[in-house]
Amino acid sequence: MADTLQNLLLGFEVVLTPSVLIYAFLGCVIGTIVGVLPGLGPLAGMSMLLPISFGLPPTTAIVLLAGIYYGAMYGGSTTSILMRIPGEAASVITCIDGHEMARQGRAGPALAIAAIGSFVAGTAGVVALMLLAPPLASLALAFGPPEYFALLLMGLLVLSYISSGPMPKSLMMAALGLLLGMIGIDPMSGYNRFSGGIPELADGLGVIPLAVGLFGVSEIMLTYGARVMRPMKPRLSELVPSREEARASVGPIWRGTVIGFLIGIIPGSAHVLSSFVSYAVERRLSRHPERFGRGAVEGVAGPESANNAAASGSFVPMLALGVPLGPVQAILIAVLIVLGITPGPLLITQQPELFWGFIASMYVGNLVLLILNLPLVGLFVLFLRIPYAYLYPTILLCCIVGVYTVNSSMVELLIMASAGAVGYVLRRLQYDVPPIVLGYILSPMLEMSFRQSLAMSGGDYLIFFHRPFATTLLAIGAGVLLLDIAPSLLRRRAHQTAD
Amino acid sequence: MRTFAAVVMVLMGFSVQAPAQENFPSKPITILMGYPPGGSTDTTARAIAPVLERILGQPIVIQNRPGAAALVGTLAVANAPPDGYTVTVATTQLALLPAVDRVFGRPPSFTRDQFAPIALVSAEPSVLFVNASQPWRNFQDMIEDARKRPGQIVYASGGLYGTTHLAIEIVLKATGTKMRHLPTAGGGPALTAVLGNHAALLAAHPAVGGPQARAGTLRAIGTMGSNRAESFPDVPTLKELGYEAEYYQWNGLFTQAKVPEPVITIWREAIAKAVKDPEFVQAMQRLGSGIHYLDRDEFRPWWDEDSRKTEETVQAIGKVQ
Amino acid sequence: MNGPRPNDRSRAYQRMGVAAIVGTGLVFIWRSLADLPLGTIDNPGPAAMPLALAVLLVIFALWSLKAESSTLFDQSESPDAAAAEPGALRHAVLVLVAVTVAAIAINALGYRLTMLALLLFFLGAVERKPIVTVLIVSFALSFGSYALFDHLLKVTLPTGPFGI
Repeated sequence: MADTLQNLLLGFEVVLTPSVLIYAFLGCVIGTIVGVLPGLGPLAGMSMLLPISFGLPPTTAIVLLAGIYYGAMYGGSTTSILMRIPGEAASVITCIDGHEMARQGRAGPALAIAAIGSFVAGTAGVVALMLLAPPLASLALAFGPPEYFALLLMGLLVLSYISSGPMPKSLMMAALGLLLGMIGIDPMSGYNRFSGGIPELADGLGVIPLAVGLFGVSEIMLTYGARVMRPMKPRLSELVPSREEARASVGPIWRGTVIGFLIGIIPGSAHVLSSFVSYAVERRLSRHPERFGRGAVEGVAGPESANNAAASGSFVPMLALGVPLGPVQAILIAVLIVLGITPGPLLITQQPELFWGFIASMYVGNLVLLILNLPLVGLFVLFLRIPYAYLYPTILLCCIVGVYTVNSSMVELLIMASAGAVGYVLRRLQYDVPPIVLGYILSPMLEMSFRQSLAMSGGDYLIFFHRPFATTLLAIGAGVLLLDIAPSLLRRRAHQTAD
Repeated sequence: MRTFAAVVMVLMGFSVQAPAQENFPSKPITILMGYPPGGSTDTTARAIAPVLERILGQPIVIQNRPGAAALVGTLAVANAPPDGYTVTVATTQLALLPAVDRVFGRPPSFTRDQFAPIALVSAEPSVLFVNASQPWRNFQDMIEDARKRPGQIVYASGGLYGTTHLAIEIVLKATGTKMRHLPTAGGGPALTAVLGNHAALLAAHPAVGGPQARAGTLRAIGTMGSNRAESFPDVPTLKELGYEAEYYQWNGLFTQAKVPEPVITIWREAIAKAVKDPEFVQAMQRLGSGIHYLDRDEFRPWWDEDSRKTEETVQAIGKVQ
Repeated sequence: MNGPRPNDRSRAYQRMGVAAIVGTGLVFIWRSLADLPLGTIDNPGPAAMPLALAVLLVIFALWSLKAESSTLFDQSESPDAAAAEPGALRHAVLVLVAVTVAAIAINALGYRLTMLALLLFFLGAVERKPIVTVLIVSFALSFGSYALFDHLLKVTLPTGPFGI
């Protein structure tokens, strides 16, 4: 423990110099801007600063680029809450309760709790990273395709928790989302599925056009007349969370942190699921689950914490093993290599200033982001006072530019428009839209890990049971499922005997 | 008056059509990449861009246009105006994507002859890495084991028909063995799969597996070049062991085939200077990729040979379902 | 009493929605079987999962029809109630058409002109705001956002005729 503290002090020494601090601040600011704008993600911000980062000392470069990444995690909730447009995939779930809170005049508290939760989760994540990186990395390596599949099956269970309304309708939306995820090139066989000859569909519909369309554009189409938000005069009580809100957020923040961090370590794109899982868990644990979907602050606190913790967690494999698990880590690793540092299992021991400087910078960065975002809450809430007639065309502009900047693709704009139309119709018919996005994200990973498992075993389905980790996960999933179905099954039994 | 106006317009028309190659380059240049930032192709481009900027005297912008396994960006390059202002750093995808199209019976999205090679910049032999816990002490051991239990050993690749997949298929064909293929979603996941022992073997760029080999989590048992890899001088080449199995992870500069020859010459001269520039040399060393430079006239047959191997191997693999 | 008529209409719309979803499922089933190999049990092909999901989708849709009679819709908070306002449908269609047209025009006309047109349309033609305000806001937002992306964030947005 003393060792760790000493190393940490070393790290702070490296970081608390004016030059490094300036870059940490710059990274956080750019990350926040990039996160606030829908569509544009941390990747774009990092690519933009790559040339500059090549001219910096390694620790400073990493501090700058990493700041963009978790800065974006802070900013992503802003548009979700204010405009019901997801800043990036991880913020989709915040749109549900976050925007409802805004509609009820609680935008300020929602933004504040999102920022505070992100700070707590980000900081706790760094602590875990600092103390547990190497053993966690070995744990992450144990996750092969069968384990991944078992985990994602549990993700399917999550689907049922994020929807409200009659069972068949929720299942339909889940199935629709899962089906839409099948569009594109199948990585296991090379076939181009359901793309109708459109080359841009080879990588799928795209989660950003889909989410921005289903949530943002459809929201604007739906909002007319009586549903328009009244501009409000801000009083202090409308900027600051109430005591109940604060108390209600404590549990979700901690649970979200743990869930998010664990999911973040796992290799693959699973970290996007962290916010969905947190939402589902909070809803399951809540004594008044019917409040979810109507402005429950737990539905903001949990997911926002989860996605920040996942961001911290996703650095574990990168720092402890030198393995990039996603495009963001790939850029960070590339920068390190170009600057003469070879990431690998020996990085922590051979380059302690880099590792500990990075850790220290994350503490500093999270603090900077909190200080940056809290006052901005007041500014953002002012945004809602703009008369709706001026607001919605602006939001449409944000949607269009946000989606366009991802891939400069007209096809994706059309996908967004179509998703908007579909979302409008579905919501008019009282279907629940979030499961579509989750299903869309889940199904390609689910299918791939399943077929990869069979590829590994040569077709033997028992592989899922020959591996203790996978079997345990499957058992937990089955257990949770039974726990849920049991009450309704028992009730049906009781009715039948009563008849 | 009218005649004067007509003459002026004709003269203006001529001046507009005067070829820009007279003072190439006279405006900013774009390196359009089919790969996302962070991969080896992209970092090579970013390493050479500042050097070329200095040599050519014009700003160079790197644009990443990832999508559909480099198809989107590569098509964008092919369709860009052939004036020499849009180039790309490319690799096997130029031969690979049309070959895959042919396997699926689709008309090829583009063909190799839409591109003019300028120079080869780096070429590292694929290195065969196995998880350190595997019992094989060397390549022969592994092949014998593979012969004893065909189709049981699992190898990982960064994607179906990708270079890491083709490399192993070439090895299997040369040794007459069969193994199980585990396709993953890219280089990172493939490496993780082998590190976690979910697959035993991976063919990768030496820089990808290098840090792991030095840390003892992976072991290099063979390389696929004509000479030993610089970063693995103790590891034999498959050629030495008696197998015809050569495959490289390479990056080269290309532009559109219709670009006028004088412009291409300017590019070739620029690259020839760039590869000697100490800043570039150091950057490539850090990337773990030595500079392996071939000017256009030597590059073309080299590229044709690599493309032939790529196309043949893709044909041989065919459809997997 | 409003009674039976809104409910009948809602029920008809619900049925149309379900029909559309069933239709979507059937299309996916058809294309899976027509274009893609099914594979085998120990090596499922690219058609396997889409087929299964599409079949499930159709099953769930038909189930929802059967269960329909026992589900009562909560009219108070549904978008239905508010959207029944006159002009709501017109608003929705206008938004959709405008976004679609903007999507198609953005590469041809360039970002600034397209966004300018979009904003002028909504602020000026639809919302009928005072013309000076409309002009100022539209120009500021379209050209300003272009500047933000192009100069500050170095993200290239398309330019149109005359380089605008």
